[in-house]
Amino acid sequence: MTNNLLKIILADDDEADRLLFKEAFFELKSGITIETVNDGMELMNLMHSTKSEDLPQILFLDINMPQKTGMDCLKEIRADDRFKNVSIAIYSTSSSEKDMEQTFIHGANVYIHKPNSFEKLKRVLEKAIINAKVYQDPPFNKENFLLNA
Amino acid sequence: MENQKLHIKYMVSLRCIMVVKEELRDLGIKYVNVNLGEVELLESISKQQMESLRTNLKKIGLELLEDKRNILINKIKSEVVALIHHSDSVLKVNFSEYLSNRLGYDYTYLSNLFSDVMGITIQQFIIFNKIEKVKELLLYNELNLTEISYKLDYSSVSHLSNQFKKVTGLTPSYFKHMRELRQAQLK
Repeated sequence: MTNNLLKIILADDDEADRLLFKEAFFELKSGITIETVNDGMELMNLMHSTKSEDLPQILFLDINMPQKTGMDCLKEIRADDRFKNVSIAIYSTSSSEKDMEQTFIHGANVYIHKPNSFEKLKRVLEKAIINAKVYQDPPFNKENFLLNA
Repeated sequence: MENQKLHIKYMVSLRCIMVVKEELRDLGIKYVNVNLGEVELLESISKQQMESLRTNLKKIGLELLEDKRNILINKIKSEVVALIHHSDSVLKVNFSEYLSNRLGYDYTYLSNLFSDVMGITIQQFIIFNKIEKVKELLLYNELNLTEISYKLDYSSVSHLSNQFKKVTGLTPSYFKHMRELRQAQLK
């Protein structure tokens, strides 16, 4: 059993949101390394230049980013077999079921509706991380990893 | 905190102790004590040091055993997985009794050890496994939800549906629908 270092990448163009996320992870638990990028282009460059064994277990992806949106990144990542073990958590300000559906259909694992309080944010991130950890080992099947956090 | 201990298999002579001490020194690992089969470390070591040590010991015919706690946790996991995923009978089990009988430890001890290391309780791990099994059975299309709830020993369909919703945020039928849409999309 590999004990229990989890690597996360967060892509968000909003600096305040990035800080909030990092703060929430920081308060949650140690054993998580988190890297942040400012937009979709930067994210894809980072993903492509990362060695397979250093890829994150989970990627948090803001849906609304300039140039390359979260949805574009999602499709690009899911089209590349090298990234098949990376779980993807989408977060969005939209609570419409249709938007959630579109991300699930294109291979997202977690849908997070951006919460309006810090405590709630901590709770949903924790839930996403626990799930991502559980789905690392068989018999859990990543294809069946769908979570509305 | 108690010092970390490493356990080494096939370590049978004084000569072995000398050789192991030498290997530890070479890798810069500080130890308190080296006895037959056991090394007490002064400070915790990195994963990389652990792996180098494992490789070097193997070359001289010794085997570094996994941490006892990890061995026990892996046993708990495989017992749970075997019961839920690899058994065809109805899941009528008292898990705490079963685990403590099978592994020979008090359940409270097992349960504390598990949550300390895993960050979730055994109970939560069992629920995750049951929900994963529900997902699998749903996609097979052989059993309906009532039959699935019976097979996995839920008291009712609504109990199963509520637990499914609590764990995944989705209803069982919505999950199934999404998986089928995704399958179609990726083809």
